[in-house]
This record gives sequence, C-alpha cells and structure tokens, in this order.
Amino acid sequence: MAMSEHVLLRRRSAPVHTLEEYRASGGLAALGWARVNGREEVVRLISESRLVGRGGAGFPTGRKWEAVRWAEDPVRYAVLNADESEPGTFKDRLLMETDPHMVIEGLLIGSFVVSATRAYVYVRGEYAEAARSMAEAIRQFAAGGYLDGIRPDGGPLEVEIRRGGGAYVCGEETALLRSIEGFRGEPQPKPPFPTEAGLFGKPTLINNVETLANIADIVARGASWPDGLGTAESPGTKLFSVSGHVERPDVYEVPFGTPLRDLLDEAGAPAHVRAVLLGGAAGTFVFPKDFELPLSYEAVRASGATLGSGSIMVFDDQTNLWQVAERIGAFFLRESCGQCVPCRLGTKRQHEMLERLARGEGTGGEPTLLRRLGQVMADASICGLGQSAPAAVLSLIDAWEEGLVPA
Amino acid sequence: MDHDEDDIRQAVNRLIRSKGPERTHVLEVLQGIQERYHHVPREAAEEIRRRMGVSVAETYGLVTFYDLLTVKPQGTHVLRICDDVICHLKGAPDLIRTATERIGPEGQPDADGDLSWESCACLGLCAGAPAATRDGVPVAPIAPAQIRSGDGDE
Repeated sequence: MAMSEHVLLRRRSAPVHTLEEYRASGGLAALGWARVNGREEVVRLISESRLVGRGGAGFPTGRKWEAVRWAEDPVRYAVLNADESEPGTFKDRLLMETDPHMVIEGLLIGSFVVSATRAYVYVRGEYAEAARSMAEAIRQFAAGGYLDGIRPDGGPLEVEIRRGGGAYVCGEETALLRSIEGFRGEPQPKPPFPTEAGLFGKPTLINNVETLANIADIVARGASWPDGLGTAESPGTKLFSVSGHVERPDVYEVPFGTPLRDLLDEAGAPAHVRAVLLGGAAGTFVFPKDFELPLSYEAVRASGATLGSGSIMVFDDQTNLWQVAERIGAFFLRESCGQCVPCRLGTKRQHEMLERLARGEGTGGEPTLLRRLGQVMADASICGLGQSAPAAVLSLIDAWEEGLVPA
Repeated sequence: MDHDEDDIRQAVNRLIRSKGPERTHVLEVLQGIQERYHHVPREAAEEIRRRMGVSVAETYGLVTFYDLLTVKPQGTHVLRICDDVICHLKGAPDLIRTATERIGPEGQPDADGDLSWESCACLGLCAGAPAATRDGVPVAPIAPAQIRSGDGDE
C-alpha cells in the first residue's frame, strides 16, 4: 500500500466539475449541517478538531474563527488567501484546480460562522487556471442558491474574486488586505490583528486554501476526522509539494508524523541526497542525519525547523548549496517590498555575500557577517518576509560549521 | 507603440463601469489596462485620477510595485521564465541565455513588438521544472529549442 493518504486529495484522480458531482461525492453535507446546527456548534467542532492554519504560521483555526465571531463590529469580512507563492509550493494550486468546491464550501462555512457580510477570494495573479476554476465553482454555488442565508441578515453572500499582481509579500495577511483595498501590498505592524481591524478596518477572517479544504470534512464527519491519522498534537494529514532531484516531483498527502525519509522515498529521491530545503525559501535546510524527522508541527518545531508551506526541495550530492542559497537570497531581494530598512537593505547585503560564496570568492568573513545581519533582520523587520529571509542561509552556515557542507 | 488617447480613456471607463469607481477596484482596472495595452500608459493613469481620485504618482507606485503591471510596453506576447531555486537547477540559465539571443534584452519587446521575455519568481510549476508561462499559460517543462522556435509556439 502506498503511504500517501487520500483525504484532502481524494477527488484528485476524478476532479469534480459541477455541484451535482460534488454533492454525489459527499459535498454540501457540511454546509447543510452548519445551517441546521448553528454557528456555535460548528466552531466547537473546529476547535475540538485542533485544526491549525496551513499557511505557515500554524495558528489554531478555531481560535481565529472565535475571535472574528465575537468582534463587536457588525460588518465583517472573510478572505481566502490563495496567494500561494512560497518557492517550491504548489499544493493550493492543485486543490483549487481539482477540488474548488471543497475549498469554497469551507469558505462559506467560515463566512457563516463569523457572520461575514462579504467574502473575497484572493488568487495569485500567476494562477490563471486556479482562478478560472474557483470562479466557476462560485458561480455554481450562487446559481444553486447556496450563498443565500450565509449573511447574518439572511441575504446572499457576495463572493468576489481578486487576482494578485505578482508580489510574494501579498501572501502576508495584512499586505494581502492592503492589496484588496487597492494599495501597494505593504505589510502593516500587528497588532491590531486582522481579526479585530482587517479589511477596510473591519474584523476579518483570513484562511489559507488548505486550511479551508479541511473544514467540510470536519463539520460533516466530526472533530476526530480523519480518525487515527496524524499525531496527538497534529491530527490529520498535510500536503507537501516535493520538487527538485526526485523521480516523481508532485504534491503528496501524508499523515502528520510521517518521517521525512519515507516521503523522500515515496517521491523517488536519489540514494545520495545532500540536503532538503524544508518549508520553502523561508524554511531551513535539513541534512541526511536528520531525515528520520517526523513531519509534525511539534517535532519540526523542536528541531528548530519549520513546516512552513509544506514545501520540500530535494538536492542531490552534486548540488552546490551555496548556489541554492544565492537563489534564495535573490528571491528575497526581488520580493522585499522595500518598506522597512532591515529588510530592504538586509536582503541586498545578504544577496551580495551569497553571490560571493556561490562563486567561491568568499573573503572568509561572510559567515560571521551573515549571522549578524540575519539577527538584525529577524529582530527588526516589520513582517515575516524580512524576519525569515535569513533562515535558510543561517541553517546552511550552521551545517557548514558542522562540516556537513563544503565551503 | 502609441495608442489613441480616446481609446485608452474609453477602456479605463469601461473597466470602471464594470468593476466600480472605488479605490478597492483600482488594481482590477490596472490589470485590465495591462492586458489590453501590455503596459499601463500615462493616459490611463490620468483617466484613473479623474475617475477614481487616485493620483498619477500613486498609480505609478502601484504599477512599479506589482510585477505583473509595467510602465514600459511589453511585447504582445510575454514569456515569463522562472529563475528560482528548482528551475535554476534544472536549466533556467540556458533558457535565459537563449531568450536573450533570440528575443533580446530582458523586458524589451523584439523589433515588431510581438514578443518580450522576463525572468520571474517561482510560478508554482516546480514539478515540471524548468518552467515558464506564455501569456499566463504554463509551459513546463520548457526547452531552449521552444523559445522563438519559428513554429509559432513561443
């Protein structure tokens, strides 16, 4: 038996195109259950399920929903963050292209629970097919009358699609909201959090695509769904985008707690892997001595790494990791919004040093300087982009000092 | 390539009628203009100022912030070549060299304005690396031979 589970990806092999097909495959039951049992029951299920946000930060979904639900302002928004742009990540694209109804059903249940007066779907500008697929699903939900009765006043919920403009930083929630408002996607200091003062200053629920893909099953099948999969602290399954030097680059769904090595074997990693980059450009390098690492939030956190967006980039033993690091540095340099100094200048200086190391022209001082610079960026940048831009580089320097990586 | 000022104004107004005149719709209007004119012409920014109250300077700020909007005209067709971690390992440098030879410098349309290319951040097509998009449609993997191959593809 293949180790991959098919919970979130169960419709992948036979994508659903109409609401009727979606209903026939078990869809819409959760939305019906929510309407009958009410907001409080739904949010209780989500909290009991221990679902945490899959966008990277890992915040408990139930707590976020409660925060917006109890906000004082009667005008609230629900936003689907479909601005997937972390390098090496393509699982949200797959979900939107092959199972858009399940994602939208999750968004509608979230909108219902927080009494949203309007919902937005912010799809990455480069994801044309995903945007088409989501727009068609929304049209079908509207035509079937499923947007009626979601709003607290009983009226139909308007679900609006917005397309990103090609800016990685807009995946950061406050930047995304600025973009919807019609501004440059510059992150805002938190607090206030979007749950209190988000879109147009109103309480706003923002969830990632994969997070919302989990909702309908939990509501329809119970808080312990999917029973027995995952670990006590990280129940359920997780999507991983595996790419690089593997025979079968693809999206894999595995139960939390699956050892990294098993996933690498499944994807056809070569016998001699130099390292994997776990969590995307904002993630950390993991080396073969640690490939038994269980892929759960708690185990990965304890090891000092991050699951991030669930990206796994695999590098064989012919790869010069300093050249990989140079690409990571170039990415953050290109995507820094330029608003705050530590990130604007830090990504530039970091990239200059990485270019030297990648060419083998290091002057010897780079590791120390990169460490100091990384500390400043992590401490003083406004948002997660600048804070996490040095993470992969620093993990590489650690490995180099341990003798795991040639200079 | 000069466009008729009236044509640009009418296009802005059609977009505003369909999306709405509020600030929240300005990116949608700009995306529509980019799609039609392959850049955001100055006249469009001025019409946006008149109809939406967004200053020309602010529109310039938006266009230069978002990678998919451009101040300078792109080609009628745009090839975007991913040059991020995985695509770089799998051959993006060769693609970029070929594009430079056959099309011209990055961001500059060829002589007849038909085609331009640019490198870009990860497109989420890593499973098919090296990846590119042509007018937003994925081409993954893409080989150097497919770039301006003369068969009308790229």
